[in-house]
Amino acid sequence: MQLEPFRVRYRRALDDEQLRRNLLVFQRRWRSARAATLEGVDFPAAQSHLRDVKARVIDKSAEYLAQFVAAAEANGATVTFAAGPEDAIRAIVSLAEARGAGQIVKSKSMLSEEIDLNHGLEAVGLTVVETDLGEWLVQLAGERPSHMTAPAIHMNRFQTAALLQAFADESLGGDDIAQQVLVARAALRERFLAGEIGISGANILVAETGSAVLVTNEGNAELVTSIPPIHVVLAGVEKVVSTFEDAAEVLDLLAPSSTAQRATSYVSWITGPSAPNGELHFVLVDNGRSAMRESALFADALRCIRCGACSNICPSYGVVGGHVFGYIYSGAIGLVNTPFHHGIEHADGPQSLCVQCNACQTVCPVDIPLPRQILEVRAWAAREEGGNRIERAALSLWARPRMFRGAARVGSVVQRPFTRDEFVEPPFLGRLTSWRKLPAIARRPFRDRWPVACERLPGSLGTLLDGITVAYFVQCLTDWVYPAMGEAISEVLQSLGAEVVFPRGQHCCGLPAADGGYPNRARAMAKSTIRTLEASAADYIVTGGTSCAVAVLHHYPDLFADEPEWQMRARSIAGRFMDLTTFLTTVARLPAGALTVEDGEEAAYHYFCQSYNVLGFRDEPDFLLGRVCGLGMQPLPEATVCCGFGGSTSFTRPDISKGILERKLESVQTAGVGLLVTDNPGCIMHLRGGLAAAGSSIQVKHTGEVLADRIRRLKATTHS
Amino acid sequence: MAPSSALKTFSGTAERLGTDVIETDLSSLPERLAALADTRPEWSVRVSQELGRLLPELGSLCRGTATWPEVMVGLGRYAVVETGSVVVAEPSYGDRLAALLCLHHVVVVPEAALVASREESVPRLRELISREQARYVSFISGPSRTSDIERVLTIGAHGPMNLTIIFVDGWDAHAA
Repeated sequence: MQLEPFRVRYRRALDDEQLRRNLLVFQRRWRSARAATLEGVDFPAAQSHLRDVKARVIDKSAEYLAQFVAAAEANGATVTFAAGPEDAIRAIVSLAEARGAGQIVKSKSMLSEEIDLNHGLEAVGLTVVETDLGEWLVQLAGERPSHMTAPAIHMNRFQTAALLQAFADESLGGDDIAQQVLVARAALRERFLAGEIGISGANILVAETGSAVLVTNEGNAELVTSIPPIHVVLAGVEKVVSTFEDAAEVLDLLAPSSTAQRATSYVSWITGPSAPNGELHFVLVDNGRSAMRESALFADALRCIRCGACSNICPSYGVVGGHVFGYIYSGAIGLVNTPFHHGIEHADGPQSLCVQCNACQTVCPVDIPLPRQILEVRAWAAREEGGNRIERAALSLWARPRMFRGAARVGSVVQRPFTRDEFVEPPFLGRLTSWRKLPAIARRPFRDRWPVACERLPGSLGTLLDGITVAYFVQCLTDWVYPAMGEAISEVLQSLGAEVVFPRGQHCCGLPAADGGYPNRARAMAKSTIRTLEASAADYIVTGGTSCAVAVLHHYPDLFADEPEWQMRARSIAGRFMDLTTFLTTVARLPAGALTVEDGEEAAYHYFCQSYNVLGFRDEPDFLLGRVCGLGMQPLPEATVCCGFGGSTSFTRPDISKGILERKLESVQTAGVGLLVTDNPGCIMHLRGGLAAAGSSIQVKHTGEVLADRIRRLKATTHS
Repeated sequence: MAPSSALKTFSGTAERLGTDVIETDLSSLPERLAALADTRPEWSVRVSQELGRLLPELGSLCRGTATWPEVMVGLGRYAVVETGSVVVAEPSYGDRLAALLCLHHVVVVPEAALVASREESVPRLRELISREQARYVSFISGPSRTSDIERVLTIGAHGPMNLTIIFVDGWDAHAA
């Protein structure tokens, strides 16, 4: 079964308000339930431990597989290797024909979705019934699962009631979910008892004993693998681990990551045929996995244990769901493995929805570098499928500093008739601007305003950075759209006693090109940035553009993976490069109370997603704003969830950007404050634009602006 | 962890998962089971062959002739405190099916067979599977459940609606 074209699925999902509500409820429930389940668990430690367990599986897969096969066969099972879907389906069809079996019951198996097993079996006249409730609902609807562990999460209770009505004696109103589950229980009980072959997946295969481990809550897998005399286990070759100890490690993180439980209701270990005169057959499928193993970057994706956490946390998934954000496999992992299992053409549309917030990797129980892999898929798709033309043109202009500067200066004049306050409102940009206002280009960029004269704070605060030279890296948006923000940041640094210099040749760090899937262009811009910064002997390079810090510290080493000399130069720059918040808390070490002005002002802090997910910000912003500046900090629900800016996604996929922003603005309203503070100019542009379009009076400021404001007021008090 | 505090922790976890936990001793066990069965006198009751072999006195609890009894009483091999799980490995195929298809699954387990964590249970699991050659071992943590509709938790999907774990103090099932 081919899925409909991406653009059709995308538009339909965007028009489905109900879907959006279902997904939001689901994601919010999961976030809080997961946090509760993992309370007291050192997740990063557990994550790196399990990563190593599964990494060994990839390194030694031939060895483990051979051990598994020998053990399974000694138990009386058969093992068949299938290179692709046809081989796997043929193996099962032959078995059914040889045994004269026509009724097949199935428990959940993503691999069976991957190879489209049901249609293959139905094509030769076999009857297949899915028995996991979610899978059955999806089967009844003639759809595909939209989530790996919650297949029908895109439906609400009324939609499921309509599907189950045919099996009920009474009328299913929809409100009573328990009643629906009872109807499914009764209907499927008959199917279980009539089943001649049971097909299951396997969450884990244990080489030590040739066992298959199944993890479920409903008990359907136990029935599927117990009642029919013939049991087929369909699994990917990457599911093998060495020992029971390793399997226990997988179990420790699988349920918390998928359903946010400590343990599911059932975990069953099947070792050889268990029914009297029963049969057990393993069909182990490759289907692109060997090609993944050959790739240095994508081999890591074989660690996946199919928990679905990367869907549950993903803001873009929350807008459109798994039928759009992914192909057969949904979520971040779906963007990564689709090219290998189904072809790059099916990954092109879905990958364009990733906002690179990096949340997926933080919750991935096996620490798969999903954001990097998605960028690689993006670059691959751009090569094969052409990419987005407008984005390519814009990035091409961006990559040429002189032309870009010229265009920006022309733009600042041309936009004047459409400019109101700080926003530009051209009438021809409908879908891009009806829900968010776009900022006007500044009449004078920061680079024309430099140097900014500023005296030190009186007393010890004014000598905190005594003798330290700071090169200010302004960041593009700050330079050309928010120069006052740049002035504020340089004022803060100078007020604390630093000598601030502005390396003139600086242009973009290259992040937009890297994020867009244009690594060559990104490399050129990175090299130019490195050259410019190398020319400055400053002790530190500080930026208010936190995303630039992410680029220099985390993207540059990958961009220059094949150019060791440049990688070294990049590392040397990275050693001096810092975002403002990190600089103020670790180098300047602003003490609590230093900039406190007792005015009772309250604020909430939005974490730029990569500040939290990549740079590891935790209490630093709260310390600076609450303890140092004395603002009354109010909690912001889902403070670490992306605002929807997502770099170029904001322009190439405005509907995704809008959907994520709406969720964020709802949280901001809940916080009930007049001031929202954050660290990244991209977020600031997006949030200001969204709030202005919604008619809100809530202000959005950079941490540096808040500090500068306090400093100016302190200076004014000392002078008067 | 002292046995009594381990049991207390187990009960807390298991009860949050919807499991009923009972503590008793060997002499009171038949009586406790009878009381449990009598809450629904119309239901058939079966005791697994393995449990009946170890504790023949439980044989009198069996009643009814249904192919699949509503109440199935079986043997728990051990229990895991950390996850509130009980481990079953009935050698009889019919007993295993009955435990899946019943409405109320009752598992009797020696209190001494409590282990702290999944990690610590691995040697016992290895013994069950590698040495005893148990072909089908299940960790059960609460009654059958689903959250497939709107992620709303619903008890009683395809397996038992109720799970009761009875810990028997002072019983050494191995010695029996």
